[in-house]
Amino acid sequence: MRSVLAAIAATTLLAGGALAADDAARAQPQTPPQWTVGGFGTLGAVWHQEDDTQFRRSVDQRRGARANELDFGVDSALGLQVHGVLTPQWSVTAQAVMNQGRHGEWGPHLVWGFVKYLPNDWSEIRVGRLVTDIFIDGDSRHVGYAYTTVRPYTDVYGRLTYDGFDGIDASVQRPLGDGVLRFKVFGGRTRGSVYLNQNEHPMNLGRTFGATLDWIGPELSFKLSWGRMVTTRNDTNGDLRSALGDVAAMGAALNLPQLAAQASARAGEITASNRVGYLGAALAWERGPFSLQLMGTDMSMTAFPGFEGWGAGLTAAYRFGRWKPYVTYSRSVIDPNERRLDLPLERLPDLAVLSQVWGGLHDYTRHDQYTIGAGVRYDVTENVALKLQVDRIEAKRSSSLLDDKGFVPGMAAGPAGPFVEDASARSLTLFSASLDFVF
Amino acid sequence: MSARILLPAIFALLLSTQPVRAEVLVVIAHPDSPIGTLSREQATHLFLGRVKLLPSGARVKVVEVEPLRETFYRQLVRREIAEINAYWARLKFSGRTQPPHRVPDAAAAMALVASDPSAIAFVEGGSLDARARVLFRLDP
Repeated sequence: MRSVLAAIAATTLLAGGALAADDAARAQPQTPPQWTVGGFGTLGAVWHQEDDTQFRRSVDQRRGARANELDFGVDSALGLQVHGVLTPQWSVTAQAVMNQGRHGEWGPHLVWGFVKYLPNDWSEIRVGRLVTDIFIDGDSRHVGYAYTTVRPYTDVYGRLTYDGFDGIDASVQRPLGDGVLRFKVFGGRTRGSVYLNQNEHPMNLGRTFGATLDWIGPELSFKLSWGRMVTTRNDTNGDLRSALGDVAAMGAALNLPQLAAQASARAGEITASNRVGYLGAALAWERGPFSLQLMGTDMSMTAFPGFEGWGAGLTAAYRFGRWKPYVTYSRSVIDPNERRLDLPLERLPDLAVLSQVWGGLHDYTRHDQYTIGAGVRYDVTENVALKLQVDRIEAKRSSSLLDDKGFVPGMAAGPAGPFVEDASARSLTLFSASLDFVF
Repeated sequence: MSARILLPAIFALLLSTQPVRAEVLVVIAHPDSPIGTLSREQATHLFLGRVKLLPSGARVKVVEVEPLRETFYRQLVRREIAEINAYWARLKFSGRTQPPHRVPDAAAAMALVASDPSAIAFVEGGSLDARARVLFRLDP
């Protein structure tokens, strides 16, 4: 961690010099093949006072910022890009990012690594390691310098962490009105995973596919998106299926037909497939110093017990000179599909463990959280920006925030089933400072 | 001078990012360039990296002039240069496209345009000579 921070700090200092060298290189007439090296980074610190609560910006981070600790691990990142233009039609790009990973490690991981072919000016094809852009600017979520706030909406972007894939995307565009209309399709093998309930849930065996439609005008831009991540080998609940099968057999043996039927039905619903679906819309408006961004998404997941949800975000900003104050609001809600399991605990107390597992299974993705924030971006130089931000996070239940159990449930199993609200809701005020740079 | 007059003046100076002198900037190309003229929309799409070819099929190499960038983008798209820099970082590090070539001054831009018929750049109107012709004029 210390070495990473030192690397980020050193890179910040070198960024200005590197930019000057880059400018000098760009000043020369260039003919292919032409190679450029660039990068970006964030030295970010967060702090809060909420005991037993860890804040993390996305569910692929294993560790979050703890109470009364100045944490540099949540937002800090360092990225390096190598880009080569081989011919006017062919180019290659590789981009690696060092940030806190799902295992708590800081090793670099390849975010982009593709070959691009431009057959003409209205289409392009990329093959290799790619990133979905389901959300507006979602394909640059690691690049703090590129966006206004300290971090993308945690409530929304923090849920989509398996946004990388190995595959292909193809886009076509044409002028429409006073703007440009662009349509893109993408597909490939999913990369990434999430960390929930002290378990990692990999998506590496799945497939990603989707499409986006953008219109980019002089002041107004909009984006519509649709995406799916599908895996047929996600059998993390296989043990539960077996246990339910045993309960069904027990119910039949004890002449409890209702229990046998219900347990058998629930066991049959636990399959190894998982389909994560997104449907999104976003709008960005910029006029002079004013800017406004609004996005919303519908989310669903079929992994047992199945989840449905939505997310939305809004950022309004006003720039004067180097200063850009802003306010932001986001919220996301994810609810599990209700799968009742009425266990006769009075008669069979040994099933209490299964009852707890059942409740936990519903809880660990359950999510209802909103964030309201205000901050300011100050562009120190052409390639360095300082941001200060305060967020108020209210979570009735959260899979982004962590506590010692690995997540903040906000719900618990009870006599009437697994959907009784308890007092685990959290709220915290988060203070953030970040130094973003590109070189 | 009273503080009532001085304070607003100092505040206005601190906030001001407008250049002292408004400059007439022109987008230029080689005299033999296949590009006839550019509309504001076409110039915007080209300088923001949205298109690299014109409807005629002509490939365009966009060139920025370092000391004129701030004025140029403010006049073309009414955005501060910090917004443009963030915009290019987003495009570059999402693998979409690379930022334009940049030259240190108008003389270098003129030389580049004179040697490359596919290049377009922006200079002050007073810097123009017979090696280039105007595609689009940005009124301040």
